[in-house]
Amino acid sequence: MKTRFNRLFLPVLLVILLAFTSACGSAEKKTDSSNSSSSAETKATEKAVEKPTEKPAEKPKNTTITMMWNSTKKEYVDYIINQYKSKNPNVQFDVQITDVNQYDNIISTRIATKNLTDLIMHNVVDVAKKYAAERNFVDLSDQPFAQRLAAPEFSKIRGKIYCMPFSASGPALGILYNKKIFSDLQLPIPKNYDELISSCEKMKQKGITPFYFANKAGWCAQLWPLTTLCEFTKGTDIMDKINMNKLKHKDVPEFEKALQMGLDFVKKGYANKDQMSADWESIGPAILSGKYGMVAFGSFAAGAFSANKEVADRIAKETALFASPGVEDPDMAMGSVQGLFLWNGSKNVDEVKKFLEFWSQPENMSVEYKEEPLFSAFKDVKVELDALQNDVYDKYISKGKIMSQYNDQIAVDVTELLKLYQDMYAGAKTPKQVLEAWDKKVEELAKAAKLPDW
Amino acid sequence: MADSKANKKLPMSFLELLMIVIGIIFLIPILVVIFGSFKTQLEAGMYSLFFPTKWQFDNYFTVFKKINVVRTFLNNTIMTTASIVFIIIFSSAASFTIVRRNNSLMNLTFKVFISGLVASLMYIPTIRVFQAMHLMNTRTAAIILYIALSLPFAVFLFTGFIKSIPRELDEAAFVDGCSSLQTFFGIIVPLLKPVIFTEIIIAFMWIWNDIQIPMFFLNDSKKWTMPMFIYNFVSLYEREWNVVYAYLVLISVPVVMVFVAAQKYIVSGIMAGAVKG
Amino acid sequence: MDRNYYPYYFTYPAVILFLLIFVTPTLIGFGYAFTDWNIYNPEINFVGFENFKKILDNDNLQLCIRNTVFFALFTCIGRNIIGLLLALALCSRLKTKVALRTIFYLPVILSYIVVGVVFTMVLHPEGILNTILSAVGLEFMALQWLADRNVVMFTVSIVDIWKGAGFHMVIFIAALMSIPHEYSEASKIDGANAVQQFFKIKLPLIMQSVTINIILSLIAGFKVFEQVYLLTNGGPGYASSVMNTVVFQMLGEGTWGMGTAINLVLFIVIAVVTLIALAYLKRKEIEI
Repeated sequence: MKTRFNRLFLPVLLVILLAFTSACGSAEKKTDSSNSSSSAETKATEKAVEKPTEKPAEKPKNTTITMMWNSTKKEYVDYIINQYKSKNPNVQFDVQITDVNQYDNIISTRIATKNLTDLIMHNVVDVAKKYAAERNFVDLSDQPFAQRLAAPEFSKIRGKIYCMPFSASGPALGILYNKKIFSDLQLPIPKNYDELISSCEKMKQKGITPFYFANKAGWCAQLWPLTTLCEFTKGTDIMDKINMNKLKHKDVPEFEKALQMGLDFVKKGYANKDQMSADWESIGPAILSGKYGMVAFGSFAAGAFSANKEVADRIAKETALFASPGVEDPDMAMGSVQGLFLWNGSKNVDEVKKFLEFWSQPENMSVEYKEEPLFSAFKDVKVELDALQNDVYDKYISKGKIMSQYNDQIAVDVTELLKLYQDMYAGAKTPKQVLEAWDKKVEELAKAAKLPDW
Repeated sequence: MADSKANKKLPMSFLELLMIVIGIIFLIPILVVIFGSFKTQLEAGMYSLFFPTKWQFDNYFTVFKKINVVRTFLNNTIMTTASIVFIIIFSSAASFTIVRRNNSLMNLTFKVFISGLVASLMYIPTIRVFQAMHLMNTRTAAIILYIALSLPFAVFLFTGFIKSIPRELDEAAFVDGCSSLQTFFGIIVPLLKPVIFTEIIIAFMWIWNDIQIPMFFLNDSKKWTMPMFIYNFVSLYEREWNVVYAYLVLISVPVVMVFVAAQKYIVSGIMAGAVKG
Repeated sequence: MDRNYYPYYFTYPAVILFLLIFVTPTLIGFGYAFTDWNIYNPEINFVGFENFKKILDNDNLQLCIRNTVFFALFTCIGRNIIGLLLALALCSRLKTKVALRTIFYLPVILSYIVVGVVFTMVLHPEGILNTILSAVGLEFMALQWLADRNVVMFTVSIVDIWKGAGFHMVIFIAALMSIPHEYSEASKIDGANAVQQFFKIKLPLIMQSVTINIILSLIAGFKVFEQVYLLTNGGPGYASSVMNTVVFQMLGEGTWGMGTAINLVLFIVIAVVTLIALAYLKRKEIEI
């Protein structure tokens, strides 16, 4: 009995499922063809329009704009999209949010197989290094929004603009400090490394750990070198020489000095004991706790903890940023600009250009900045920055005391470098060994990219 | 019988107690997730094991509000069920012949399947294959891929278990005049019940939770499965843990249900075994 | 006789699908290991064995290989022993069997994102684990589980055993359930105790599942990626990197040819190990 039932059950299930999948398959093929080749449909709709004799009126094509986004779903994205849709009802949107850890893998795979989304959100420096901007993305330098940029230089890749930027420059990077601790102990803002060390000493005597490190996160471990290496190269042609294979990192004594400075905080006992296992999420509570004086961080500090309004507000009010004092009277290092890049192989280039133009309008950008305050990308858009960001703007940005970060100046991808820094803080490599290993890697990557001179 | 049962009673309950205690310890990280799904964002961020101060159901509502749960759930169900049916049929049939017809061709086939366990999926060449077949970005492609990728493990599992079914049984059936198909479905499949349901559990869990294939082969987020949308709430710098936990609980419920249901069939496999004896 | 009753066509669907969708792309992929394929250049040039020479040069790689082998062996033993013990315990006449089996299987279902985060907190120097250890006076054992270079690989392996034991348990349960009751009843009547029962009766009858489980855990062990990536990202620095994290990093840096070459090396290594283990276990199957 059971066997007969079994024998019937499976084939019947099979048939049902086959029918189901083929139905879905044909349904997909319909949507598939409308998604991937809107041209086929436009031809159909145009033909349909042509049929009733006269009417040469243009029926707008049904298009879908696809976009890859590399952070969590933001409300301003939905808002701007809905606004655009209400003005252009024939346009649909597909915002794809995937695993951030594999973001670059996905993009490079999709570029290689020629099916990237119309837009990707990425930062200027990575696109410049990894994705051969000239080959893969549309030059947007002639777009109206490009003429309104407040700081076009930060968005340019080899002289051209390939994205609609979200900010004038990246965030400011330096040393975030607890204002109360500094005022209680009457510590000045250190203008050079010696003043920094003497402040550390004073804090240590009062039982406060001067520096907090969250070295479990590679992007945090790099912050001190990131901001100080470029101080030593400012105004020199050191980076140019390195990028042209005329100079090696290990032959620049200032680089070793900068790395050693960072390592010394740990060696001299000025750092938290769990520096290797602390992750970036602990930085917010740590700097507010009163137990730690400083942490290498950036002007995005309040934004990074925006999930917890109380912590974010307190960070904005109780902390401030000063440039890492690797040299005398240093400039503030600035991070990289994020923006939307338009893929060269997109089938909707004109529509997307319209969309980007729409996004860049003041009434839309201000919605974005309300949710995520950044240094305004456009001359005609004002942003309400939090106290921390305003302070940085007044003290450094408005005075032009800024420079680009080290990662922006080296011509190759820096993933390996972050690991080398972690090795250094873990005690497995000396600064000199870090530079030697990095030189080796730079050579490998530059040769793979067939950069001239290598 | 009653005697031996009484003797067994005492040691049995000790073992049971021990297992329950170990089970709870085993469960601690999972409890963090379950409790976390009922906490506010602030509390969830503290990763502690404490009960939420106030049981919030908001997180679950947020999930339903922000994600088209019905559509993604359907995507999941279609892809997983279709894949599993074909996996079971293809692999059990293939394994049967591989084991019984023990010649060099079949041994080679077996080794080719096993090597599939070792090799990782190469995205770009595979994408090009699907592009050539004009199947890129379809659910059919995903299903085909899931089947192909599950075959090595399934074949490995089935061949192992078919070996323990004596040949005499098939031969008795053949003598009785049954065809290959009749013997296969009538004798072998019922005996493979525990294994079939084990494979269902394993394949279901893998395919249901998988994000790699939708990420690389389904370029239209309307076709995505539930686990893909978790990244709406998790990224490098922002993490709404409470919502993420709620999401994970929701995704895991069907998997657990399949597991529990399948356990019953695995237990009933004893019946088939007893009958055979 | 065979030709009629064990037809080849049973294998056709599986084999055709597998060859077309998996084998072909993989072989093509392996071909790239001999090129300088990277993201910067649209042209691909054949470079022979240069990638493999570079692999031998790389110092970090020796550490990776050591870590990978340690992880594979340790987790293979851990997962299978615990999985087997669990299966034995949960195949007896316990009342809460199904609930317990579900509990021990739950870690398998859990996604790695969450495992990474939750365990990072549990294993934090001031996290749950160390707090408990200090509370019971075992403070000397409260190590820096994820930050100490000497311990990190061990920690990652334990987490993997926790997550994977349930999987092997399920397979062992399936095997144990296939043993007819009469066998164990008969041996009990003959006066055998539990241990003897296990080694003389149960083990021989579940040898196939032992083979399956050992092979699977070895392969999974050598192919380890997410466990390490999401817990430590190969860190601190390179202390816990394994071969697949290096492949991932290379793919991320855009040096695809190199990444594929390491992938090919890993494939060959695992294939060799698997074939040896398979042959050894097959012999044991027959013996026992």
